[in-house]
Amino acid sequence: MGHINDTLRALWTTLRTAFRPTSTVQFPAVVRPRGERYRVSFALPDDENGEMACIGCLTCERICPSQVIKVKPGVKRESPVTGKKRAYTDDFVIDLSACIQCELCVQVCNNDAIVMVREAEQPMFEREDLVLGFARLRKNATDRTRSWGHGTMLQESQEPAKVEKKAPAVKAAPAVAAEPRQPAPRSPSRAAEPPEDGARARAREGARARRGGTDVSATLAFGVVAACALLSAVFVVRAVDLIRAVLWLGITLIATAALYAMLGASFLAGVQLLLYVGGVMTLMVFGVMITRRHEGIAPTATDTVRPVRGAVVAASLFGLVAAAIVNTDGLDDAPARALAPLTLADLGRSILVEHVLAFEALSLLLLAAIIGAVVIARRRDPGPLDEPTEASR
Amino acid sequence: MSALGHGALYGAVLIAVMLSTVAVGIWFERKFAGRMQSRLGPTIVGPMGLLQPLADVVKLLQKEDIIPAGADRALFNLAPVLATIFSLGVAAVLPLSPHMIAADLDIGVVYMLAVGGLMVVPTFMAGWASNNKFALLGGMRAVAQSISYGVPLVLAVLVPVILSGSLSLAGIVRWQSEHHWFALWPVIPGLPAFALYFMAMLAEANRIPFDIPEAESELVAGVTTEYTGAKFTLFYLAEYVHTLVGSAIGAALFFGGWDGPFAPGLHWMVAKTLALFVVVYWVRWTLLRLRSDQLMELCWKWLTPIGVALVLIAAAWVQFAPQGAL
Repeated sequence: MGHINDTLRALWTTLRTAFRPTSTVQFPAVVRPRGERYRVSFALPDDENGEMACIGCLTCERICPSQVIKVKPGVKRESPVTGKKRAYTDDFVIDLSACIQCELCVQVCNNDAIVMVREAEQPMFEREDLVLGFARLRKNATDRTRSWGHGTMLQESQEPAKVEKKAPAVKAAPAVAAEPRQPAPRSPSRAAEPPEDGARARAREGARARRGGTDVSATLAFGVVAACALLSAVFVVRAVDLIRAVLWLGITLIATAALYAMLGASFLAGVQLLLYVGGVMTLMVFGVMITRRHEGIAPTATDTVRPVRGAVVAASLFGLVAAAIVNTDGLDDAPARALAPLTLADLGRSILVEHVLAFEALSLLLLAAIIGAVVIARRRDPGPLDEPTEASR
Repeated sequence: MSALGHGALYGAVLIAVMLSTVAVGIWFERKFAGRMQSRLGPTIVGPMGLLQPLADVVKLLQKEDIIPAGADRALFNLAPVLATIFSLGVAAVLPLSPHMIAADLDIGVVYMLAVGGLMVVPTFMAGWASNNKFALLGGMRAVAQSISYGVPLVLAVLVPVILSGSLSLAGIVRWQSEHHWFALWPVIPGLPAFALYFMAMLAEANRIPFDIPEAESELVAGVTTEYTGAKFTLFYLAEYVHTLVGSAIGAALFFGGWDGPFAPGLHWMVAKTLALFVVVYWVRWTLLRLRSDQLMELCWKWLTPIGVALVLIAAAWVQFAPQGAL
């Protein structure tokens, strides 16, 4: 019961998911709004006076967990803008190939001199291109949109709560135009495609009319099918490759089924197909498992007794069947009877009432054959390598 | 027009309709599977990706036709053709509406089982002829599975046959439209028999969770490992047609086929068939593949005894149920 329960639960889950909005979108057509704190690359912005804000204090270089920042502090000199003395930096390098985007460098910067930007760098061909030099970092400050955080704001937001807590001023970063939410879930439309409606009742009548087709064509068809059956039977015997032989046998059996159908015993034809397909396939599988490839059944050319023996058995079987046919009454008007439909009810009655003894005896015979086959196939002492296989089932 | 001409025309129309249904079905499956996995499915080719199956077919047909060295060429080439023929052959007995049946055989059910059962022959032929161990293993598995699941399939189909007393698919549908659908009443042999039929049909058509002959994760692509281009397309097609026809027969046997109010019979039959077809996809994209031994255990230890029991119950119902209940 647990399996059934699990199966039903799984089915319910997938069905529910199918009617929910999808997690994915078609990217170039629909761009999902990026998160507010989305950040990729770096920039070295100016301070409020229009100068580069970085003073080369090395705080960011020291805190960087991946140690990808290299800062070269410059000499202190008077600012050309304000006239006050301040520190400068001569070079600033960030190796993006190892950067983990933790934003710690931004957090520790008291001057808001390093920030992150929302636009990623272009894909590159060389690993060295991932090293952002001074010029590119400066350029990013003007070309790219800043991400949400900067040093003083982040530091402030992490201070212990005061009585009057300032709301963290989030710098608006409307870099990516917020797309409207993805479209409402479309319910999977029905794959309905009704075939064109048209009264084709006549086709049925046609089929009925065809059943009693002309005698000549019927005889011809019968002959062709019978020839097929016989020829393929010859090929069964002639084929060296076991698989081919069994496939030819399959054609023989199908042709026989067709003969049954032509003689009006369509039920027998269906059952013939139904049963012998399984039989043929089983035979084929056993053939594959038991014989070796490329060898099939080696033709025993030297054995002269075997063909003779086979011929004798075949001839006696033929004689037996022929005698049975000749001795059966009322076969002279066979063509007339073949056209009269034999209903299934008649067939069932015939088997289970009239010939019940023969039917049961036959079943017993088959059962005995099965048991015999199992006994023969079973090994007395299965060795370690050849345990009873499929053959013994 | 002659009877033969009518038959040929009907067959051609039926095949065309079925193939286009399969094409749309493949699109629907990919879309549906996508939604089940919270994805979009095909979106690029055509509106909502509707032309995707067309693009797939064009792509497949352009591919190089490869026959492996050491393959049994005749069998290798014959197998996909036979697979398609057999899978389409079952459609001949489909009762689409009271007046739309290609061949209203009085042994339609036996014909359907026989021709459907033949499907395993090309599968094994392909596996054998490919000269590839994965293909051969797939073929062997297909045979084992098909022969095993043929038993519960026949048992499940026997239930409506016994209840309606007819071996003709149209006869069974007619009986249901006069009385009641077998999936609804009598519930006990009816509904479980449908479940049994559905499972066995999935197994016969090698659909997940019974696709061990294909089993990508174990056998590369099973019997179709060595097939490319047009031949692979035929196998692919045959598998889908088999499923479609199996759904249609399930609808006819257990859900009253063309029977239904308000709309013409054909509409009902098509709607029921497609509904079952969708369930096949639903199951496919939900469940996992059974292991070989689990497959056999399910078949022989569960489905077959249940099937026998259902057949007995159905027989008892026919014999002992009061006339009013039938």
